[in-house]
Amino acid sequence: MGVNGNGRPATRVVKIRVRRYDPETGRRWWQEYRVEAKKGTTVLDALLRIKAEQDHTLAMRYSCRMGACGSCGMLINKMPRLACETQLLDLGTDTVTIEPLPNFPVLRDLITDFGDFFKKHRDIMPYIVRESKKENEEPYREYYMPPDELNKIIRFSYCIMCGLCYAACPVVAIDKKFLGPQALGQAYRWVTDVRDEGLRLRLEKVDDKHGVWRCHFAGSCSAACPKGVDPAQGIQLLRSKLVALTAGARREKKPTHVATPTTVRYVDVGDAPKPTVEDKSLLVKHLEETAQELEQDLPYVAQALRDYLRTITSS
Amino acid sequence: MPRESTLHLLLYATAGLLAVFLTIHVALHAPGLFYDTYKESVQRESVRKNYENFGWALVALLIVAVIHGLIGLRGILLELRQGPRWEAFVNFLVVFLGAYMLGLGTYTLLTWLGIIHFGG
Amino acid sequence: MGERRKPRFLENRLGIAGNIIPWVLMIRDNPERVAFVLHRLTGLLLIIYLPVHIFVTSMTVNPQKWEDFLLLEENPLAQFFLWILFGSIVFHGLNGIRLLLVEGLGKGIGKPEPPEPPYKPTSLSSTQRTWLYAVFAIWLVVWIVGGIILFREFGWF
Repeated sequence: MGVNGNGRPATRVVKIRVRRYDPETGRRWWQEYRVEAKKGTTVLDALLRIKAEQDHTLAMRYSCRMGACGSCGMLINKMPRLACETQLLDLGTDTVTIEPLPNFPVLRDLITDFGDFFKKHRDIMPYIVRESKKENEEPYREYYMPPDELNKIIRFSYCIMCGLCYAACPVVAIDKKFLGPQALGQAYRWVTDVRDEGLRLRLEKVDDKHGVWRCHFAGSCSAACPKGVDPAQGIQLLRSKLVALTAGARREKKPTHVATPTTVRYVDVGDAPKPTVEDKSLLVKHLEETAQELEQDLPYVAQALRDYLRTITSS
Repeated sequence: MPRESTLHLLLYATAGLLAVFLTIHVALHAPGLFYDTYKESVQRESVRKNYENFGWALVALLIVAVIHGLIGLRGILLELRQGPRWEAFVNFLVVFLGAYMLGLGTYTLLTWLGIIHFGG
Repeated sequence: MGERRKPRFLENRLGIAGNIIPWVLMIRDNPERVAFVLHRLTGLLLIIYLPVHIFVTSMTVNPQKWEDFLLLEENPLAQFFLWILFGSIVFHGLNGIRLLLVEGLGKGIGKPEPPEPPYKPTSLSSTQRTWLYAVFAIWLVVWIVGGIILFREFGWF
């Protein structure tokens, strides 16, 4: 359709079929809505408009609306996507089907439970593990990481835990204990981190019946990932590392060079800027007046303002 | 059961061997290479020649194929269902099938080589 | 309205269909998944065939039994199965070599570099994708040529 002669974006009415679920009755059904879409209307926009104007019982989860938080993963036209990064007209179909992400338990309508998913992520210890107990429990300094080392892991650090890879994976579809692409990709990210010494501990978690060996490189995780994290690559690299370690008579191979805590030299940024309100009495006066105005309608706010006043006048 | 990484190293090693062995094994039946027709390649006379010429290589192929196939099957079955009882059953099934196949295959070879006599 | 019931959450796993039917989810640009499904199905066929094959070859020690068995190969269904079996071995072997390189040695999937928009996954656009297309091409050619040779001998045409 594109743009009309007068330069205004063309609009089109799109039929939206939502797969709904009511946890109290256990009923599951398809519901249809009609939404006017124009260039730039995302699936999330449409759902929010439906919730505001047509059906306030429709439940979905979202937060940032810009592909950064990973809350609005849904199955849109049978493809796991972020609702906020999918535009209705880009889909190219007159009917758009929206379902909750598969392989996650459905709580209501489009809301799924990520408990298992997060637990599997925690299982692979997504943090720096040092051999020294003291360093683990009382870290006292930063670890130096050269930029080229950062480049090796940064791809995997972009994971926003939206669960699209987990929904796309054909093995997660049948194996509920399988760690899944997200956790395994992150395992590789921490194993290759130069600051990390937890290789052996993590390989123990990953070298399991339902660990890294259950991946068969179907590649759907990487194809579905909205951030280019490429979990499939991480998993294959993790597995080849494990294969090499096993073939090499289980040598305890440490990372090539583990960074040690170093002193970081801070750049002198100077003093903090001067307060914009030089005369404190102006601010005090303003706060007192506002507190008085709010006394009747919002006594709590007025009280909070007075508390704040006391702190700035006493110092 | 050995560790999973050991099993999968075996899976990959046997896969590499199978790529060579199985190509020869299948090529033996291809018309025009060793025998003029497929039907000739499965005649009892041809089978006898195979066992006499390649006897122990066939047992090596058998072992490699059984290991590779059963580790693969075990993986698929472990994905299919979870739970300690299922895992125990799968491990038993795999060991049982392996013993059956290796036993029967070795019996066939030994009979052909005249070490065991058919029918007692 | 009656009183509120305890909420029940829906186990929404795709199950076996999600495992072996590639179009349950419409994931674009993902022939690796087709290869995964074919690898799994051909593998299952081969491991089911293996004990049968060993049992059948054990019949060669008995001349009468073996003659009876060879009559079975006159059946067109058995001949067709032979061709399916041949295709399974060829695909499983060719794709298996690719998987050995990718899974076992970590080759052909590129290096983990910082991603840039439009966020194309490196592992799906690296050398292994070329290998994958080669696997499909060689497999189909070998399978079809093998079929022609086999079925000509069986007198299908």
